[in-house]
Amino acid sequence: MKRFIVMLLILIVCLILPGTIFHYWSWAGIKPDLAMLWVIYIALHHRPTQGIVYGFVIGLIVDFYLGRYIGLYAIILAVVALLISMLQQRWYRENIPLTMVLVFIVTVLGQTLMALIATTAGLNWYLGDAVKVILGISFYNCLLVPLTYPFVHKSFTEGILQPKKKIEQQL
Amino acid sequence: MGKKINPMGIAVLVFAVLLITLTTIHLTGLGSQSPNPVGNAMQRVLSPIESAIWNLGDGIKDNFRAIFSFRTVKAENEELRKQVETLTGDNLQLKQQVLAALRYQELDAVFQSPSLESYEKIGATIINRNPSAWYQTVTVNKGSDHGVKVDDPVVANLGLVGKVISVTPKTSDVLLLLDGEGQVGAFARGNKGEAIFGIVKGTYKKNTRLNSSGELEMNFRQDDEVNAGDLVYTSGLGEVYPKDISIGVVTEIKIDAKGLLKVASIEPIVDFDSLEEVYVVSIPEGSR
Repeated sequence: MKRFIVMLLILIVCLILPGTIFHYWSWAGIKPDLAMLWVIYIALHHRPTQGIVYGFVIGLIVDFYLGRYIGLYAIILAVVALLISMLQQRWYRENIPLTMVLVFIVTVLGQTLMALIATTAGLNWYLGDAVKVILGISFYNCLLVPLTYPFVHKSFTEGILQPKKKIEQQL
Repeated sequence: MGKKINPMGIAVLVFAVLLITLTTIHLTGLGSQSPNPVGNAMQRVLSPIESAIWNLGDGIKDNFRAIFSFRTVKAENEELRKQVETLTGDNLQLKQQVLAALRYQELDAVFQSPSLESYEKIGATIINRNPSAWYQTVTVNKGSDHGVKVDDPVVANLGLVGKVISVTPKTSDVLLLLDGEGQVGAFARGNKGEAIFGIVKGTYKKNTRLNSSGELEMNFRQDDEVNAGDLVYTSGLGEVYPKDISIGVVTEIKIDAKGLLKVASIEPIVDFDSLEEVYVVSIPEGSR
């Protein structure tokens, strides 16, 4: 239970920071997608099905918070979690440079999907501008990995976010 | 022994979830007015925290700017002094024109043009920006308790900012003109004083990372005489924005790829990045 509360609190921080602090650190309006980064971290430390469910539920919370196109983030973060679970089988979770590459690739794919679905739903974006935003967000997310991942990984493997023993054995 | 997994069952479940989600995406687009109690509750709980961070951030930004860019601030000060002199001269000329405009307004009242001055304005402070880079919205600290309604126009001192898209008792979300869905009916005032109508919409053209001002776009017919430097105002058509609120200045005109339209880039008068205070224009029910 304590674990879920901590995960939810981190999600809330991920929702508040981009609109406030990261506004001052944004490059041409581009800020990191912390909710997506958080789902990537969660999916890296859970089994595929659990990761996808986490992705969907977190996405739904993000959608409610944004109040627009409810379900968009839910689908995208579930797909992001799926991609992570497919890729992480060939990846070392402990290696930070590799995790940065993983975060970059998955964020590019996730944001591209986001741009495609949002455009279909009615948001107007030019291709060139969308590409700029996608690459910007992905690069920003990737830069945040060395600053955040060591703590998150430690917490998931031996700290407060560590999954229960039973789940650990099944892994 | 683990449970047997039925692949067909999983496929049906995934398909059902996808279908439901795609339907809700479609139904909860902009202007749908669908209820969002979870989001509203989150907004209510989180807005004081967001507001506190925002105030702190502004304080730090202002103070650090003064300390670290002393030379820039000094140069800026000299520049501003020069501008004050020029503006004082301009002001005198304008006063004469105001007198002429007053006469025009008397005539205008006859035609009952819905101009901005005739409405009540509610001052509001921005407490949050949209966390996603895809949506261009801000949250302000005034809501339905203060008389804010969905679709109310939002202006800053210099010009149009956007419109209210959702309201909670204490906060409301404002869709900026820069958003991909932030269209507004507008006209450009040509050099002969004639109005050329069109629609202004948000684009995302930011040339360098240092140029943080977004640009807007407006389409005209091939034979419309629009020039760089023309001012763009709201047209009052479309029943959301009152007439004659300034939007921006035409900076560049291009012919579109098909050669049928002129596409004008418009630099908004409002600096959306450093926007802190706005006014919500309260339009009485039934007068749209």
